Amino acid sequence: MHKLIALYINEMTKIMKKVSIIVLLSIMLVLVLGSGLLIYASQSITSSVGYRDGSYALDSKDELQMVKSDLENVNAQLANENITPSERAMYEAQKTDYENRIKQLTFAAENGFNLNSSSYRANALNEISAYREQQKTLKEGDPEYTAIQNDINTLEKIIQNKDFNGYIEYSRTKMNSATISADEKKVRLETLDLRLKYKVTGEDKNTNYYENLLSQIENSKLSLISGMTIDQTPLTMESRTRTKESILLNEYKLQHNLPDKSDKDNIKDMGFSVMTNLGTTCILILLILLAGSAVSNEISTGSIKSLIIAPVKRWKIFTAKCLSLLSVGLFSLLLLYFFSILTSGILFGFNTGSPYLFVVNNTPAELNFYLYKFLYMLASFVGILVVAAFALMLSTLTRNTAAAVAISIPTFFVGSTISQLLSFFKGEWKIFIPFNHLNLESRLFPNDEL
Amino acid sequence: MEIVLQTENLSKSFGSRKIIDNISLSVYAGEVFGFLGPNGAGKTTTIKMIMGFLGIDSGSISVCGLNLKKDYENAMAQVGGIVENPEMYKTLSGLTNLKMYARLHDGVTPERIQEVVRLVGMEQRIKEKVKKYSLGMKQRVGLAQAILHRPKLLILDEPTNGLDPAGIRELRDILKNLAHKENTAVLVSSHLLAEMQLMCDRVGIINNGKLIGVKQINELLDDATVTPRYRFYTSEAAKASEILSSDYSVVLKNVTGEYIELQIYENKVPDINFLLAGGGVPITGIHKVETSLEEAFLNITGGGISIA
Repeated sequence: MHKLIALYINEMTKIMKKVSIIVLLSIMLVLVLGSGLLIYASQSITSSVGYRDGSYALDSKDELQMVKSDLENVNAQLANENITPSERAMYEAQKTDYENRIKQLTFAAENGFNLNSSSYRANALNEISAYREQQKTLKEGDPEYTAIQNDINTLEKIIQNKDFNGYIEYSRTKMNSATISADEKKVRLETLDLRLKYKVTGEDKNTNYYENLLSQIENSKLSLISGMTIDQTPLTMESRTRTKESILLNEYKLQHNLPDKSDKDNIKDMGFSVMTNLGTTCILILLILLAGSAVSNEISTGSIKSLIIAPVKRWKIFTAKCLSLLSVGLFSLLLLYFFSILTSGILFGFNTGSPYLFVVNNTPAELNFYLYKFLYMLASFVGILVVAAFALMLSTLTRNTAAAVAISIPTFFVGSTISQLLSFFKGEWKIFIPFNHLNLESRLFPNDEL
Repeated sequence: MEIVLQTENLSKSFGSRKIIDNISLSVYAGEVFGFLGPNGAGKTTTIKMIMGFLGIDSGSISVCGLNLKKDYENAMAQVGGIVENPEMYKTLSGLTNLKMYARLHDGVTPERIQEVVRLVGMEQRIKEKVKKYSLGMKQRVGLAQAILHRPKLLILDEPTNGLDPAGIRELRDILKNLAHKENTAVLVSSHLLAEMQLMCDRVGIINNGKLIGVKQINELLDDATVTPRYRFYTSEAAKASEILSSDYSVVLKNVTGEYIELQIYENKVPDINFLLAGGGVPITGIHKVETSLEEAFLNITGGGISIA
């Protein structure tokens, strides 16, 4: 055992003097810092433009101005006596439309909500105008006419009193009388309950995200009932479990008001991921270079002789080489991890990023952001180790550094392509091809969103 | 005498070609054993097998009674040496190389490292990187590395390569000292025959993978010098040989334009000189030819083989 330790110390002495380790670790740190700065710069550019997550809704006040000027144009056209009767009729119709729109917009502006948003009051107002259109086809005194009038009154009250509960109550009664299947009705009613429970009024900053979560939950539930995914392929056992988990997780996000990971405000998560992904690629190349030259370089320079003369068995020499590679890899990983924390902390703040969500025993659970990122990096390190071991094997067999390195590096990157190719073939033998299984991290953390 | 290295019926083939054929030899403690043979005879292959570089096809090797195959680590702990060229980690200093090697052996103290560095005369430059060393300096550090752990068996393959004459002399003294004072068994291979003559106590001669013979160095020289030889330098060598051809007690070895070479005993030299002078042959000089190991070697291996 003490011989193995002595060999290990010797291997570390040799490895520390290699130029490639200094070069690649420097490249790694520069890349981490550079990508961090780049993301930081892009953040300040986009925020100065005022563009936010693609959900650009036209403000009601702005639209009011536009519609008013449109109306003036139409009026000007109507004042012209040279237009044909058909043109006149068209302009009249446009005029009515604009006037109605102005009424609605004014109403919305007075009540302080945006007609173009997904606010419940905007929805109510849109429903009212739809009912008004419907009413025009009916006579006053008709029972249907009265029923519609009642709905209009309810909705108007909801808008004036900002009565979100009332709106949900109203939607629920509407849903009960709708002609859809009992299962679907149940799902839609549950969604309304969630909407009420988590106050998804459609009037705050993250509306789109919450609406998105709600509709994802609803779709998941519906596809569980129908046994089909949205694109009409049958659910497998695995995807059924995944769908159930996604319902739990999406509800958890609503419940705890968790931020949207794809949102630009969540740039810290994204920045950290970019940094560590670039860094692990550097570690991959470093380890392949070291492993690919570990044995072949000693043979070509002849320095292996001083190892062979020494009273140590061959397997100990090889084990010491493996261990030294492993420790260099782990050291680089830790360096990358802490350097990334430091960089992202300085650029985006040290307060923790959003945690990783997963399901245990049908209960959603959180994993601390930094711990999660560390485990994620460790998981991706396993794939790197497999490729490094492959390079070490080639280095030993071919005794040629160039061949070992040149074969190993593409192996890692074309691994996914090979697995795509293999998916055309049938049979169980595919599971024995190692290239398919190198990305352990995506299997351990299937809910990773970046 | 204690046997340090023993090989029994050692054989090795590369493909169908037999490189080493049934070599059995013993090297004793306290002697310098020379391993002699022309290029490609199998010297280095044998040494590589003894040092664990190559596997053994058949036969056995034991060091200090320990079988190399069965007790590899303990047997190899008794062996030190250089094979072909001394190879070290070029990006590290000589001292670091020695320290790394010392780590793999038990009981090598820092003082011992200083001691061997002093012994090979490298104190001044031991902290420089190996890539700055000359071949001779590498040889010195290689030797230091080989004797660092006080091995019972020291194996040096072509140790005088790249050394200057002073260095060769130093090496010779170091090796003789190790063998005769510290009771180390030293196995040296070389084709520099003059060197072997000065360095070795016993010589094993190998040719075409076979061990032709093992002899004490004195014995070997005696074998080749049954009768001493004398050269008579003269401008009329042909005439001289004519005069001497009638005398059956004279064995004519060589006749060139400058001299004639005779195999005679010392007491016959004045007679021959008188005879030639009487015959009108002017003698410009008489010279006794020293028999070298080279000649002995050529005699044993059959002459014609080139010995670079």
